[in-house]
Amino acid sequence: MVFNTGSALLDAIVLAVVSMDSEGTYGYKITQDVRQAIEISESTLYPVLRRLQKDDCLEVYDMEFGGRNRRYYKITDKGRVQLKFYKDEWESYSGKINYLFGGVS
Amino acid sequence: MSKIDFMKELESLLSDIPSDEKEEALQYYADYFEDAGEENEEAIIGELGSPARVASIIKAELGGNSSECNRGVFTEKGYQDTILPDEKYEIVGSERQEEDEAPAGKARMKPEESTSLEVSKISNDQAKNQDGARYRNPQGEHQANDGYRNSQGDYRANNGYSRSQGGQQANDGYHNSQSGQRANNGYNGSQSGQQADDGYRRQQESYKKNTNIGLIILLCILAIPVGLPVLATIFGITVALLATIFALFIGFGAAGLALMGVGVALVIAGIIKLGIPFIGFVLCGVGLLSLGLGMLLVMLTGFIGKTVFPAIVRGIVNICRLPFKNRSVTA
Repeated sequence: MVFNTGSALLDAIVLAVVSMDSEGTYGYKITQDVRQAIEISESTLYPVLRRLQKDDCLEVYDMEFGGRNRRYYKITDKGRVQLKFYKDEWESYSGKINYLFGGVS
Repeated sequence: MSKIDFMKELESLLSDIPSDEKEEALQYYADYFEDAGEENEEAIIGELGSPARVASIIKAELGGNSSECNRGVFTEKGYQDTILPDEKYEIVGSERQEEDEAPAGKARMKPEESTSLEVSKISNDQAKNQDGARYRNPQGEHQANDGYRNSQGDYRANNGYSRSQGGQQANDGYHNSQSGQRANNGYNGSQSGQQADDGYRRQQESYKKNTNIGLIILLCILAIPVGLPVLATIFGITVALLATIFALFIGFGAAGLALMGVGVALVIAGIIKLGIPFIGFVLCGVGLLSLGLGMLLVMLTGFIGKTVFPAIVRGIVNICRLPFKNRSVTA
């Protein structure tokens, strides 16, 4: 079966994953974490991260790791607000679908 | 493909976006490979597909796509991007969905096996082979669109055919314009690569004819500054020749007739004056001579009139017919 996952849902998922680390995480790890839940290509997330960064939902900083600079993504306050918004929307949306499917509302 | 080659090709494919965006993207993927570790390098390259695909994804995002919903699709195998599908995953009903969703002008990355409606996951090994096959570029050319490779192969076969026909400039121009398009829209190119051979040949011939006439016209236009005086000279000379011949014709005729007349008169006078034999004979003699000469000239005039003039006229008509000779011959 095929459900359309909008880019909004992808944003929400990425924000959620990044917010799990208070100090932020790096691209590779974010992708691996998201792939725990849904199967995405390794190339899917870069545009999402870039967009979130441009919208000021994520901030980036570099930290040295193993002799090279690694770029970390960290959720901003605006990002937290956006994530909360997405979570509420998702609860409402999925609740309605579940109700239609005859499950718990 | 090695990581270094992958990154190099990605970098060149991204050369048309702002340099800070390009640097960010390249840095991200460089870091990605580093974090994954060397042992995962091949797997990741397989997953990423091709540098062209990654570049398209990056550029598509920069095109302000963020507002577009319904790009992603949840399949049995998980999340899948409809516009830029992963080669390893195939979507049920992919054909229809992609027709609806892909906006015009986007480079379409249809994997070569996408006609099947099976949802299947190719194993890592297969993906590797697939990847290797995809990168075998016989001419080492820059491919903007991977799924295009098959039709491109057909197109190259057609081109070989065109070259064996004598390497006409028109065909080269045709070839060049096509390869220029190759980098832009793979979809268009795959259609032309599928042209029937006959259609291609006919097009080739019409190109041949068009070039010949076109080149001739161009040549004439360019040659006008020099050509005009030359043409005028030739025309003048021709007119002079014709005039000479005509004049000779008239002159001979008149002279001949005149001489004949004089001759006859002299003969008559001589006969009359036969009383004094010497004068009479001299007169007759001269008269006959003159008659003879006159008749010669008249004959000459007749000859000119009968043969030379028609020949000249025929010659002129033939010259005028020359440019059109090809058309009458080729039926």
